Amino acid sequence: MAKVCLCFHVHQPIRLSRFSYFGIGNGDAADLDARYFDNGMNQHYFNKAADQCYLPTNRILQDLLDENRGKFRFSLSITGTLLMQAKKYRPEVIESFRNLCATGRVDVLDETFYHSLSSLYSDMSEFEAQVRMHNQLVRDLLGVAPQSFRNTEAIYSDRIAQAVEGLGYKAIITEGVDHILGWRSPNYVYRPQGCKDIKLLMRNYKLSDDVGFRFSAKSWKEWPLTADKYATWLSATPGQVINLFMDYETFGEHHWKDTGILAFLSHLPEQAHRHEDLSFSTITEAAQSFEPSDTLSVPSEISWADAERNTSTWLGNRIQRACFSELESLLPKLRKANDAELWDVYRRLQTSDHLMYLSTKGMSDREVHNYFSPYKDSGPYDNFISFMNIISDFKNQVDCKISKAQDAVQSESPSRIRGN
Amino acid sequence: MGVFSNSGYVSGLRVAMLGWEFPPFVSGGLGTHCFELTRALSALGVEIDFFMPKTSYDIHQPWLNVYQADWILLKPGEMQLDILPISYSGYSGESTQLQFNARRLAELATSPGQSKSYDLGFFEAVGAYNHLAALLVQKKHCQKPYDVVHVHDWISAKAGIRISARTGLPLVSTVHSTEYDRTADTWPFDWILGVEKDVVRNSDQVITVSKRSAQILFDKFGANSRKVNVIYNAIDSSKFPKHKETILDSNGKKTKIVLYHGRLSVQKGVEFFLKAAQKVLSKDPQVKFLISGKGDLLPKLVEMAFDLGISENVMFLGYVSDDQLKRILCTSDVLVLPSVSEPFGIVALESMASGTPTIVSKTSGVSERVKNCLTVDFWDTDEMASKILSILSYDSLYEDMRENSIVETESITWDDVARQTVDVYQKAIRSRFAAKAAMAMF
Repeated sequence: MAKVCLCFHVHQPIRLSRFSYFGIGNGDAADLDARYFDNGMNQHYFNKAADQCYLPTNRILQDLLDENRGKFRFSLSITGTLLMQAKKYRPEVIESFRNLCATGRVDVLDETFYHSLSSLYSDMSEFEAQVRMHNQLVRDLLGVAPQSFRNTEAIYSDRIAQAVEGLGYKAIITEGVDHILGWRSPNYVYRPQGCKDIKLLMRNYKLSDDVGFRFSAKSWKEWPLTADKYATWLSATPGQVINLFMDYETFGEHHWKDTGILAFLSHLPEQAHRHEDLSFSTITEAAQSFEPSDTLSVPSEISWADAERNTSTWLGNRIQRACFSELESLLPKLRKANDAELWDVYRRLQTSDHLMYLSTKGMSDREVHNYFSPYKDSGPYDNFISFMNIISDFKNQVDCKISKAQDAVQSESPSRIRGN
Repeated sequence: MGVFSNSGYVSGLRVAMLGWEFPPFVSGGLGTHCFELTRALSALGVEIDFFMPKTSYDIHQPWLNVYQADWILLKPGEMQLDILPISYSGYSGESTQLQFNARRLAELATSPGQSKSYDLGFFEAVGAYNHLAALLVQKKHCQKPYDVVHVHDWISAKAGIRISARTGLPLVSTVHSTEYDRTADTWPFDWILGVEKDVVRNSDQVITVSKRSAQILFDKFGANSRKVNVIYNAIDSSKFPKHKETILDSNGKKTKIVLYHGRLSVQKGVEFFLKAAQKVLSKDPQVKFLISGKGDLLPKLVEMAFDLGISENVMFLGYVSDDQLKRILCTSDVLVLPSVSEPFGIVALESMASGTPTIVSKTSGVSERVKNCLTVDFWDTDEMASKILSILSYDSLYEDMRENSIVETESITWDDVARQTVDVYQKAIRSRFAAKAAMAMF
């Protein structure tokens, strides 16, 4: 009897403003939020996603949870940057996610608060800090305590699995990458190399992408995909767990409502339940139900992105790596400055989307990799210039703060001595 | 007529092509275009006779026949002065000029059979060339028929229209630029506009070098969109060295160099380049700006550089040959094409082929074609300066743009241009057949 683990990735980055080279200041700017982030654009995108996807899809899921009395269960992977924006722009979105969680049949996964690439830093403490922040935020806003983990864009390696195990999680999910699995199937529970307790689940990319990518493609030979047909495929899939992990915006944004995607979702549980061998489960429950069938070794990072399934979507070229290492190298300075506003901005700059917008993959054959980029009329080089200018300016802000703090210490010291 | 195959190869398709320039006789990009296009067409099996004005060069290339329209090629009695191609209209101030032209041509025509250079004014020379080329093509067509006549720009347009009208050959014209582009839409010369409009109207198919150029034909000339084809220019990347040379300043530091290359005219937006230069220098006073090319704006630009207080950092190089340009590109860190109105802007491809990061205005045709360059509004000199400074400051950007520019331009080939051009020839031939068939029905 296979457990079907539906898992939804819910994310919005906090998008950056366009920033000129001439904007780079000497570091005494006030209100860094307004300086670096295009909150008008953020609000626009958030409202659009809330109206087309989050609210209507949450309503469907709530109905399914209520109707199926315990038999329908799923997992959510919601980023901190999304929750913060929901709180700011559309509190009712938080409310509706909270209601889903209140049924007790929804599992929320932890990840880095900022959907960052901090798991790739040589010093893992920033990663751990961001994971703890996410955990706290989910407890505060959604009222549940996550027990399983999904890293940013399913980026995974043995090293990351070991760090996540160290944080006490029961399960971690990543992409069922062919070259890692080899002859093995993604539909079993595994153990990460070098770990003792944590379990590893692998996303079934074929069945996930049938919905996520292909659902509305009329040229696809399986079009139109009905819940009935899809449930039959699930039933015919051998294994213990079928991890269907998809972007939440699949429902209503990537495939518009008139493609029938929302109807597909609302009919899926009833169609699946017609097959006795299928049941729904959360990621955490599925991990607990089965013992690892094998150990998987993943020495270098994999992810669910692009055909390469590695980190090249964010770190594939020099401009991406330059921004990434500039940000990483700022870490000691942030610790020194120890300022709450600077920490918040610093971490928002680490959101992986900013690096994805600098991808030049496929540029030579003119197939631009910017479907998700909000900066429609500008390419990766423009995005880099703006981002790197922001990082340069931010660096000056941090330096300024540090030197001010040092001045304050120095000017204070003599009086203390006198006082003593 | 020629036989078309699915592979793009055509055998026996004969084209009479008319153009003002062919290397080594070049004054702009048109000559290079004709050279590369004919070579690539010939590789597809197209036979080309190329008709150009009489020059002092002896021009031969193995892939085509070059005819320099000259009196000696025509026997007495073949001169038909009654159908002089020069017909000025709508520009009253030109009427005396017209009479003068006609007289001079008549004088020249009294001694046919002798080789003469065009010792004439520019417009007279154009008139004479069109007249002679038209006669020559018709004569050759009688000996061995052509399938298509293909003209480049207004400068050979009149001949194309004549030939097509007389012989029934389908006419294809390439509009490399319009008078609106060349004058940045200020004071366009009505007579030239008239010729351009005429050739667009009379052509079976028209080729433009960008979408924005096609749009001008729709908007200003009322061109029928069904017969306008966009075929972007290409580049032979192998002709451009990819290495970089560093020039050290007196302190042993690398000199950062920003280049402009092109005509010095209003259309090219060089003034915006200078304004951006001033802004760049406010952040980095060591950068050098090179302006290569000549044109009527030179005195004004020199004065402007002085007024902006940047004349020490701006060097005017004057005329620069193709070979010199390749060397200059090797030492340059950025090339800017700030054109106000640019049908294509092939210098951007040359720059990219040499691995020089390139910034082009959004009002240039080349910005539609390439991805690995930066684009700006020509008037937004803050943005232009910000982008120049960013390329000069961020090594990762410089290196990625450099590497990707080279890769991208390697795939922008004249072979593709030739294949697309053959498709246009086919369309032109088919539309003639269709028209003939329709006529036959009535």
